[in-house]
Amino acid sequence: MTWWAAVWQRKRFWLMPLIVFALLIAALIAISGGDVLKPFKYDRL
Amino acid sequence: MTRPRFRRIRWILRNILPGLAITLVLLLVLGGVAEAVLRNSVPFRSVSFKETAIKGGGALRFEPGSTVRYTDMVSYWVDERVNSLGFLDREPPAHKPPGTCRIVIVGDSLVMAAQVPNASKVQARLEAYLSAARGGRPVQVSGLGTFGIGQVNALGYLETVIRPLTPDLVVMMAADNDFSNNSAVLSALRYGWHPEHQWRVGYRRDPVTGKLTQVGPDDNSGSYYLFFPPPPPEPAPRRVRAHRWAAERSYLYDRLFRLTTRSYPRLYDWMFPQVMTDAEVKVRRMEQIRALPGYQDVFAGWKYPDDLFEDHVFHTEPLPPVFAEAEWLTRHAFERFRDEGAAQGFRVLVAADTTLSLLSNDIQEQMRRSGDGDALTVDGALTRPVVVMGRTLMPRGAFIRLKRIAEGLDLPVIDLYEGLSSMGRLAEARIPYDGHWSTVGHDRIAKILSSHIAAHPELCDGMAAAPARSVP
Repeated sequence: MTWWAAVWQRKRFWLMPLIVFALLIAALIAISGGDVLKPFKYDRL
Repeated sequence: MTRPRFRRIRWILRNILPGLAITLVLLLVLGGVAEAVLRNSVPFRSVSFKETAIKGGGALRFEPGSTVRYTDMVSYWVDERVNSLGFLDREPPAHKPPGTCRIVIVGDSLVMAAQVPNASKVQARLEAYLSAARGGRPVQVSGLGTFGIGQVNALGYLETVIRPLTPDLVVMMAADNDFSNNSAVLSALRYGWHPEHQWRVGYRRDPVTGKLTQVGPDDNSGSYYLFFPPPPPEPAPRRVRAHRWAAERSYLYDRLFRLTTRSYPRLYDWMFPQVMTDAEVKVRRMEQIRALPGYQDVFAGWKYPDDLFEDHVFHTEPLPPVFAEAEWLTRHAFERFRDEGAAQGFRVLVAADTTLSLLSNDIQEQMRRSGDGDALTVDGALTRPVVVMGRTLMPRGAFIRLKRIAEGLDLPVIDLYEGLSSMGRLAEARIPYDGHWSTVGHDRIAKILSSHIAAHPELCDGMAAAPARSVP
């Protein structure tokens, strides 16, 4: 079995990016008070 | 011994390394995309403007025809041209056709409104709303906004700007910091000017004789500056240099840093420790002012820094002498506007900003810590008198003070706190972390002013026929 086949079989390779990005998005929302999700010139009519 | 170690390495290669590699690649790609989006969408990265002292104007204004770029690098980037009068507004119309209601709005940075485009400002929106309410009859509105001024400082505009504009109505936009700006002594304290050599129009009133002395504008104000804190020592600490390096090169880093420090100001203080706090600077200036002849007891009754910040004192009763002088000068300025209106042919309407009715975040925080949080509404208004640092803050204290002054002079007052409270959340009317009006705030305030003026047509039409219109 090749290395990648072994990796693929275990399906664990997506866990770390999932956790890291979930934490990252939570951190961005927390630090910006939600502003990071708003479009740039949100303060326009 | 080799076998378990080999197995451990193989486990890491199969379970950790692929995830780590994918995460890093995704972070790099997304970071690169975010950097590219920011570089393409951020029009400029710093505030820039040219100020000029216009002779006789009594306050610094922008260089006519120049460009003002204003940004907080998070939520607004505004690039606007200064009009020929030196204000950040559209060019005032040269002609005033018969039946036109011409309005001038005088105020501080709220009216200057560098955070929103000229077309979204209260002056522009009021033109549209009031014209519609008057059945299409023309309305012209100009904003005379200068940051940091109070009504006393705006007295210089009466002859130089307002008279040539021949308005029918002057709206005086008042905020809670105007009281301090109207005082030469409190302006000296906050801006570092000498109390008798002010940059702008200013007065001192002798508490015993009541004699009024003009102390500005003084072209040589710069020769009399009080204490200013020294710049931070160079070379800066390593973290500051690393931050500058990254912020200069990466728009993404810069934006993330700004977003983070807005929510966590302590991080900002750690990155850029102040050489001296604002309170320490003020204490040094107070010492200098007290040392001037005749100023020994000028701060009697006010124990700053073991007392409220100067703007907050105007929410309390009773006032120490230097604050009572500021209140008197504020009244004096309104009276001068009213009397000049009678001479020039315009009426005066006072609009009271919400800051006069609300308490700032720091004092709210202080109240919550001391167990008086129950006396605060969600917007930061008081529901009962509360004692903070030995002074009694009154519900809507500064608004009541302003209203008393205006009504004593027969000037009508529009309560923007009441008006805005009935139009949605008060916070929507402000730019977050900035405090100035958002475009929503400008629009709502324009609606409030428009309905008031439409309901009182004499504000526009009555004076046009009044004999006082003929200028002596």
